[in-house]
Amino acid sequence: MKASTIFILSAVSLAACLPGPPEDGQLRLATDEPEAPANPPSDPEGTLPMTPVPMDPGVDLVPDLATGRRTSQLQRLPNRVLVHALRDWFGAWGLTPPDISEGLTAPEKVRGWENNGYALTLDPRLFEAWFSAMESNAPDLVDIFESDCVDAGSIDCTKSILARAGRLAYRRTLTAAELEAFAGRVSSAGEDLRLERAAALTALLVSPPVLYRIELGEEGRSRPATSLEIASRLAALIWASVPDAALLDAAESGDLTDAEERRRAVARMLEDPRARDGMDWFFEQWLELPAIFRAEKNPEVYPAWQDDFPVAMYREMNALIDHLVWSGEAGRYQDLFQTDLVLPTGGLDALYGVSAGEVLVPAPNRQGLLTRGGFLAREGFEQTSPVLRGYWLREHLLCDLVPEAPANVDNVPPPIEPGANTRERIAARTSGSCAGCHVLMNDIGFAFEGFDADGQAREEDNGRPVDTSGQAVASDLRSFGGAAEMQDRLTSSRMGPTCFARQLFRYGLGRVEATADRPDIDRLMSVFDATDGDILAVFTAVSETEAFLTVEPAR
Amino acid sequence: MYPRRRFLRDLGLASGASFLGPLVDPWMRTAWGQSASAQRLVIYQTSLGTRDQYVPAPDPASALGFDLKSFRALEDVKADVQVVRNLYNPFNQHLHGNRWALTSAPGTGEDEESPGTATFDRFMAERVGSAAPVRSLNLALWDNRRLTTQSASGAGQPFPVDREAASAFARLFPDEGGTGGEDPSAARNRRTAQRRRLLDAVRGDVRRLERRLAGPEKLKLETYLGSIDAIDGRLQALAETPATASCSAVEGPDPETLGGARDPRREHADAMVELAALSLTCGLTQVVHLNNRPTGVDWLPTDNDEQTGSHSMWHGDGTDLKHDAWFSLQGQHLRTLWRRLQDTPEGAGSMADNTLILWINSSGGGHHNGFYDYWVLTLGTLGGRLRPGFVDLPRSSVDNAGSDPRYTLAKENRRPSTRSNRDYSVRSTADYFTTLNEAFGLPGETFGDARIRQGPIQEMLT
Repeated sequence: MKASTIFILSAVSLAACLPGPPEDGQLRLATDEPEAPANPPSDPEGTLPMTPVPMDPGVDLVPDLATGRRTSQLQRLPNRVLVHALRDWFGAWGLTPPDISEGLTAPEKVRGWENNGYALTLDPRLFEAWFSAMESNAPDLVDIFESDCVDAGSIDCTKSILARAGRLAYRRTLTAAELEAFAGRVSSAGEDLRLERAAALTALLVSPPVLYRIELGEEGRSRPATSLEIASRLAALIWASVPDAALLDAAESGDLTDAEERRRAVARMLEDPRARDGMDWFFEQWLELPAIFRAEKNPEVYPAWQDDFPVAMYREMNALIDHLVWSGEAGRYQDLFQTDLVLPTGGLDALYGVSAGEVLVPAPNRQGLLTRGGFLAREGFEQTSPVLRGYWLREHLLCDLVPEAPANVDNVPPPIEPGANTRERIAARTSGSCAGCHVLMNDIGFAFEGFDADGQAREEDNGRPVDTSGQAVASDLRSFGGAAEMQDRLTSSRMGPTCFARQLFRYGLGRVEATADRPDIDRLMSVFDATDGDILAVFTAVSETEAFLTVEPAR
Repeated sequence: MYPRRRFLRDLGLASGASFLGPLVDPWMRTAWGQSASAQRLVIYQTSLGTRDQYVPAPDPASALGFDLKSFRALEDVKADVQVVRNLYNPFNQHLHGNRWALTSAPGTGEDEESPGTATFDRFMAERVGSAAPVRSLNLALWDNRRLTTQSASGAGQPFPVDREAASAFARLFPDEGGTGGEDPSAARNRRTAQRRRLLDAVRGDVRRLERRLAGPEKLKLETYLGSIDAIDGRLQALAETPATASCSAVEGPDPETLGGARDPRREHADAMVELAALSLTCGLTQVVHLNNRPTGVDWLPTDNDEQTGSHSMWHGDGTDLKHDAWFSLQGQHLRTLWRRLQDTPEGAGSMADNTLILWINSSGGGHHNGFYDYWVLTLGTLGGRLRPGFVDLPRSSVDNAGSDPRYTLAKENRRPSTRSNRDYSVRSTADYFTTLNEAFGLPGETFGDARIRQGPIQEMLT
């Protein structure tokens, strides 16, 4: 679904736009059958029936969702993980990590996630960058490991070099056969021996087990993930990286299939500074934080807007999340939508009406992350885009899917004319047949009309007072009076936290959840309830889901 | 042989160009498998729009009936220039140019950040560039870490861009110096053979794994194998280069020079243009995409020495001096490329006879809302198939409330809401690229979204 294409939807999509509440009131996930179409709501009193989680009829890149859950058995390491892996490996080897940024292209996203195992392929440029990095560093690695050999010219030394570098890169100890195969390519002596060892090491470092997480299933049935497979999954989840030597030790000498050992390993990983990398990556994707970099404003309408605001706004969102999750007190999901802290740097002090500084400070009338510039200013060139704001919230915070606009839809923003504010213009333009779908987005977006497209607070729009009240139909958010109350509804609803759990699942498993994953989502919600929304607790609980600990059957 | 460490470092990057041309052995191109009449395409894509006063325009008093304005650097090669005005591309963005303007088709993914199909450079790479060691190059003129590619191999397949001239040079013209007094070419061949053996070994590993997989998982490994083949193909091409050929022996731009020069950013752009010329004349590739999309250009002249940057030119800092300098540089780059091709013999003439250089602005004819006012400039006639001169295409009124695809296909914030019922271009960029297909001798090959495509623009052809 393209955010930019959703503006006005016609009756063509009406049936898909207004799902009725499921008869069983149960959680509905990606593979559920579509509901029968419902009539547009008429609910002036705000008593619309609540849907625990609305139907999600989308089909994504996962090829066999209809037959049940399935995790890709051959997952190319995501760009972020590859970069972190180089940092960790080369750091452990005492070398400067090579730069492969020339080979990193923007990956295909699935529901906003760039670590989806089905969408990641090995781009030729990435392979070339990786190949060059390994080839150019291999001689140095040979020198490092060779210095520990008793007999530097022996075949045992060759195997030792390959084994030591290979263990981190393969995320396991190489088998004797593998060592024989790689070492068998080395036959010379003298200077040529060094080069041949480097070539063999390069071959190892560019082979499939390095660039892919390979988890082959059994025919016809799922199997428990092995201790080493769990180690790799944990490293991706918590560090956005690969296992270090200690985690591999824990996996090979202990047993990460054992819940207690797993908990110990997770506790150690959370103490490591790399734990912030995993959390950062989750939030970056879930909240689509880089979206602020596409902000463009008409300088005639927004003269205070500065070209470097997006950078400051991006920094602020990251700083806030970092503070909420890691400041010492258990950061809660609810805090995300109730915090009044802002980071008034880079010119944002004027935006928030506080003194400039490099520390987080409270700001008036800025409850929740969704009243920060990093969200408010993403869209809208010369006026706000409440439809896009509402659409984004629907998809990212409620895990709803809004159907794509019909191809022939008239989706031009209503021109700014005297006598009507944005809400009034949008409401007029999206009335009638369009309302069937727009009812899902408009009101949610209107909640933020108290903030202009550059993030400035406002009470009037085009000379007319703003109206921020509304109802979030087809959800359990009910009615609200504005941005603060809307965010309160997100925290008190079931739909918001459930979506949070689903997004964590998507991040941790590298795929979209399926119907068979319902017990796992329920499990995450149990942790959510038991810990009052403790972000870290729910985050790590992903590692205890059945899906995380299972390798699906081979196709 | 040219001393490797001398390239531009002692001479200065800008003055290095004239030293590179004579280094090229024309016959080595044949060794790399090219025919003597290989066609070439260079796309010089810039962004952020144009202002009318700097754009070539009809002028009966000027030679050939049009004034080159800020592209006056092309005056002495004007007989090879064709300017086409009044094209539209409704899929382009409202602001600052669609990354995928060279597709003439909608993008995919969230906010259309992903290409919907191949861009014209990659499209042509498969048709005219497939025999070359490198099917196409994608070079960014400015070392801008935030720069994203504007080239794509297909739907959801952005084609990576080289952003650093020095590293791009090193990649394309690897230094294979020998050790212990070994002959450099022998050393290169030895290293190449070793690399190819290594790739063979990896290919074997992948094949073994592939046998254990099925369906979509197996397909993933095909891209892996394709990546190996791509490197292997280039290594093979290099191995077959005659030992006396000097294209692989020239020195690339020195990162230290780039970083320490007075105007590093401009010199980086010049170095990339030089790399493009070298790659074409050496026969390394036949298709080059030069990506001229900076976020700031510090060397541009300013009135007050305070504001710099290319984007601010269109927002309050747009002095005539700046705009003229900006477009003049582009004219100079085009001329440099063209002259280098003209100076390189090929068959009975020169490489320029079989080359088309296309200048296009991804934002179209304006900083905002320029996508109904595209204009393009080319150098070259492709053997007389393109007609030099000014091609002023028609315009007609479009009704915002109607069903005209020029309006209905534009999306949301891409429609000029304040410019209703105005005259818009009638022919699209899809028509334009389809016409270029004709000029390249690919009749019947269409390009771009069918909804905006009428067919070749006959006014462009002889």
